[in-house]
Amino acid sequence: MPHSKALAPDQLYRVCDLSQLDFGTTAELEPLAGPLGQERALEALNFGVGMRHEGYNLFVMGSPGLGKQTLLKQLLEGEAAKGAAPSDWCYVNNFDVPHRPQALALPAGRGVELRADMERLLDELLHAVPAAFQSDEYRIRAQEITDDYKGREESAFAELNEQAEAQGIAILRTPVGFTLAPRRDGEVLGPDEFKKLDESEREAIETSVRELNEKLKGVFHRIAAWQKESRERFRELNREVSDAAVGQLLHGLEEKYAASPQVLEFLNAVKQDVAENVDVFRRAGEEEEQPQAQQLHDHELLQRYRVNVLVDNAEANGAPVVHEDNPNYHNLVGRVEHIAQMGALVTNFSLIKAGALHRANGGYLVLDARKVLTTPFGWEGIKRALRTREIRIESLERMLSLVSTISLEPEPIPLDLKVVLSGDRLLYYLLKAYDPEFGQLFKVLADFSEDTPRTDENTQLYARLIASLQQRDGLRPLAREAVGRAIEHAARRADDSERLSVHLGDVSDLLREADYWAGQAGREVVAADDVRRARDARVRRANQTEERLRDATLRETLLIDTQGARTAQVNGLAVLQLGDYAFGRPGRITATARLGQGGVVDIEREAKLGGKLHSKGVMILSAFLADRYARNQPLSLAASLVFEQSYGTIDGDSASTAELCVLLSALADVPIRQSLAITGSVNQHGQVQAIGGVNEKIEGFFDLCAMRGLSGEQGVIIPAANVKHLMLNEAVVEAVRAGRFHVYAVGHVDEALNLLTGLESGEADVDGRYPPDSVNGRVQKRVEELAALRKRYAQSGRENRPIVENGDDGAA
Amino acid sequence: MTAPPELKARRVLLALAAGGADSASLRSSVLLAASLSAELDALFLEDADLFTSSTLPFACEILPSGAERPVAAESLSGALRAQAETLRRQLALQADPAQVKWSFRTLRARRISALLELSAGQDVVVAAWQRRMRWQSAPGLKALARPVLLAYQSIEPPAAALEIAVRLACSLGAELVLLGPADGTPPIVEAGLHVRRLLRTDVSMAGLLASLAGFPAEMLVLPAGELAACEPLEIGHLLDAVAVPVVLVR
Repeated sequence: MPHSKALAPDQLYRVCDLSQLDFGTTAELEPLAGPLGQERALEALNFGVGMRHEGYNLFVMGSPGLGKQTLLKQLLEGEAAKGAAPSDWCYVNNFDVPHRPQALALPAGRGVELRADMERLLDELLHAVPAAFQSDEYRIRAQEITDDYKGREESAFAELNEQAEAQGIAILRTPVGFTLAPRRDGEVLGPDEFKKLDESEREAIETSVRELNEKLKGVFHRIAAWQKESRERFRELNREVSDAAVGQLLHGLEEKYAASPQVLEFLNAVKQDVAENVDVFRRAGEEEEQPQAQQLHDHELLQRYRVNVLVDNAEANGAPVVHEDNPNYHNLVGRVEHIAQMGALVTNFSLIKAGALHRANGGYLVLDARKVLTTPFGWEGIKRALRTREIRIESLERMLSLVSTISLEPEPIPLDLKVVLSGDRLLYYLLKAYDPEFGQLFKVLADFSEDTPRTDENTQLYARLIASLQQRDGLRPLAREAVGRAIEHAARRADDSERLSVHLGDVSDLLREADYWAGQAGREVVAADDVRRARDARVRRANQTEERLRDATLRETLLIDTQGARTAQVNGLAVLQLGDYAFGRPGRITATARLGQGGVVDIEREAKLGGKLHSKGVMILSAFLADRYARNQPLSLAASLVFEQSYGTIDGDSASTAELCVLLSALADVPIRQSLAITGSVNQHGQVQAIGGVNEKIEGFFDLCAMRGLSGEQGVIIPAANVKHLMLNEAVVEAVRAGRFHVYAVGHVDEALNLLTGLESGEADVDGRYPPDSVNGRVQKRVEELAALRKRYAQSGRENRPIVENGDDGAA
Repeated sequence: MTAPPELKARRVLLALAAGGADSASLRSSVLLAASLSAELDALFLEDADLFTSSTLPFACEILPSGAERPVAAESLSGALRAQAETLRRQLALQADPAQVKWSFRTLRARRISALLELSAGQDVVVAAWQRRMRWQSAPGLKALARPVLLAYQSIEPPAAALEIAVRLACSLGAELVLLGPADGTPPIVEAGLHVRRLLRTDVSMAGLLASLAGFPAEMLVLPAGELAACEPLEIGHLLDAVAVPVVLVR
C-alpha cells in the first residue's frame, strides 16, 4: 500500500484566475439580465406560467436566498403585462335571499363606476321619491282613494242611521265602538221606561236592535274589506308613482350597463325593492325626526342599494400578480366582517372583504408554502378553491361549527388563477408524500439549483451577476480582485472548488458588507481586502461558541491531544451548525476490544445519542472487520466505540473511518498519532468515501493546533473524493505552504492506518495472511487469538473450568 | 291675521265625546284659539245616554272588528276616563307648542243638551267628536287641505261667523266656501285667500244636510242663529250626521 502524500497548497484552495476577468471594476460590466445557473428552474417556470390547464400550478423549490422571488417577480410581471386586466368583482344585495349576496362581474374599472352610480342613484331617489309622493298629482289621486272609501263608509253609516231613526233606535258612540238604544222623543229609554212598554213593543225594539246590531256588524265587515281594498289601491298607486320616479332615474343606468345582464338584473331588482319599500324614501323626505330605531332600520334598508366593490382593477395594467405575505385563511379566501349594533353583531353584504384569491383572480398568486402550511386552514382554503375553481367565503367559525348565528353565504366567485408556492425541498417532498391532492394541484416543479459549475464562462457571468447586485443596491463598484475574492467565496459557499454557489442572498450580503468596510476605509472602490474583511467579520460575529469550545480544549477541559501517540484513541472531526454558521470541532474517539461474540457496541447508540446513519456506519465497520479478519472463523470480540466528552446527539457516518482505525488500533495494540485528525466514511471493503463539511473540519483541527503551536507534524486525513471540495482559508493554506500543517487524502482505510500509525498496514498474501508486523497482521493475529480463546472458553464452559488468555487452560 | 277689534272671543269651547277626535280637529281648534288669542276650554262629555242604555237588558257593544260584547256602566266609565286622558294628552301636544292657554275638564251629561246649554254663553264652540270610524288613509300621506265651509241663511254671511271662517281657512291654508242663499261674486275678505260662493237653495236643516252630503270639507262653520229655531233633536241629528267638526259662532 503506497503512502499517501500530503496535498499541495494549490490543491487546498482554487484561486480565481483574474485573467478571466477583463475589467477594472464592476462599474464597467453589463449587469446580468437573467439568473445564473437556474436554466432548469427557468424552463419549468416558463412552462408552468404558459400552461393554462387545470392543476398546472407551480411549486418553486429551493432554499431561501436563491433569488426565487426576484426571478418569479420578473417573470410573472412580464407575463402578466401581456394579459388583459381581469374583471372587477362586486357584491350586491340579494333582494330575494338577503343572506346570499350576489356577485357581479364587470369590466375592469366599471365596479367603482357602478358603486358611484348607485350612490348617486340613492341620493337622487331620496329626493325624487319623496318629491313624487308630495306632488299634487299623487296627493289628489291618494285623496280620491281616501274620499272614495270614506264616502262609502259615511254612506253606509248614514243609511244605517236612517234605518235606526226610522225604527226609533239611537246609535250611540262608545269609546271603542257603538251601542244601540231605543229612543222616544229624543230621549234614550232607561230600563224603567223600557219595562213600562207593552211586551209586543219591547219585543219589537229588541228585534230592531238585534237586526241593527247585525247590520252594524255588516257595515264593519264591509269597512274592513274597504280598508284592505284601499290599501291595495294605495300600494298600486305607490308602485306606479315609485316606478315612474325610479324608472326615470334608472333609465340612464340601464343604458350604460346594457352589456351586463347581471347588472341589469340587479337594477331591476332595485326598482322593485324601492317600490316595495317606498315608505323608507318618503320618510327620508319628512322634516320631523323619526325614532332612533326607525332611523336605524331605514338606514340599514338604504344600504341595500349600495355596491361593495370587492376587487377594483381600474388601475390594473394587465393581469394581477399578488404576493400575500400573511396567508391565513381569511386573508386568502376573504371574510365577512361584523359590526356591533344594539348589543348584537350584525353583518351584511357590504362587510364582505376580499382575500388574496379575489385580488389575484385572473392572474397569479405567490405564496410562501411554509407560511400557508403553518397557518390554520390556509392550505385547506387554497386547495378547496383550486379544486372547485371558485372562491367561496365561509367563516372559520361556521366551518368549525363554533357559532350558529345567521351569517352570510356570498355567492361563490369563479376562480381562474395560477398559484405559485415557494418553499424548500423538504416541504415539497413532504407534501408530495403525504398530501395526495398536492400532486394534482401543483403539477409544475421549478427546482432552483443551489450552485453552478465553476467554468470559465460561469466565472465571467458570475462577475456580471456581482455587478448586477452591486448596481441594484447602489454599492461601490468592486475591483477585479474583489470580484475574484467574491467568486472564491461563492465556491467556498458551495463547499466545492469546482462549483459556485448561486445563493444570491448570501452574495448580496457579502457585497453590502464589503461596501461598508470599503466606506470605513475611505475607498471609492471595494477592494479584495474589503471582501475578506467582510467575510472575517461575519465569522467573528458568529463564532463565539466555536471559540468557547476551542478554549475549553486549550484549557484541557475537553481532552484532545494534538501530539504524541496513543493506542485506541484517535481524533475525529465533526461539524456543528449553529444557525448560519458551521464550524469543525475535533473530538476524541476511543475504542476497547476484548473477547466476545463479534459485536461492536456503539455506545452513542446504546445511550440513544447516536443517529441512524451513525449506527449504520458502525455496522459497516463491523462487517469490514469480519470480512477482512474473520472470514473462516467467528469474530470473537466485543468492541465498544465512543465519542468522548460528547453530550449531544451524533449522526452521520463521516467518523466511520476514524472509528475503524481506532478499533484496529485497539486490536493491534498499535498507537495512533494524535497530531493527526481523520474524517471520512468507510464501506465494507475499507474504501474511504466522501463526507460533507470537509473545509470546516480541517479548519477546526488546524485552529486548535495553531493555538497550541504548529509542530509541522500535524494534519488532517480526508477522503480523496473530497479534495475537489477544498476551499480552505488562507491560514491553513499558508501553514501547508510553510510545511507546518498537512492535509492528506486517502482512498482506503489502509492508507489512513499507514499515516496514523506510522506502520505499514500490510497487504494480504494469496492465503489471506498479512505480514506479522504490519497493522493488519497484528489485528489478524489478535482476532485469531480471540477466536481460539472463545473456542476454549466454550469447551471449558461445558467442562465448567476457567480459562486464561496466555494459553493456559486454567487447569493448573 | 290679527283679531279685528270687533271680535273679542275670550274662550273657544272645544266639545269632545266618546270616540275621540282626530288630530286634525284638535289642530284646527288650537289654531283657531291661537288666532283669536283665546283660551281653549276642552270639555269631554261623557254621554249620559250611554250609561242609560247600558242598563237595558239587551245592551251590548259592537266593536269595529265586528265582535259583540256586553256593555256595563262600570267598564264604560273606565273606558271613557281612559279616552279623556288620551285626548288631554293629544291636546297638550298640540296646544303647548302653539302657546295656547288651555284647560280640560270632564262632564257627564246628555251630549246635545249639555252642548247647547254650555254654548249659550260662548262666542265660539267647536264640536269635534268623532262621529264615525277613524278612516286609515295611506301612511305618510299629507292630505290636501279641504275647504272650510261657512253655511248661513242670510243674504250675506254674519260678520263674526265669516271672521272665524276666514281665520280658520287662513290657518289651515284652505279654501273658504260660502254656502248661502245668494250667489255671485264672493267678497274679498283676505288677501291670498281663495273664496268661493255656493248657492244654498234650501235653508232648512234638511236642506243643509243635503248640501253637505258628498261635499268634502275640513270644518263646517255655522252662525248660532242657524240653530236658533231648531229643536235639540234636530241639532243633535245635524251634529251626528256631519262627519267634520262643527264650529258654532255666536
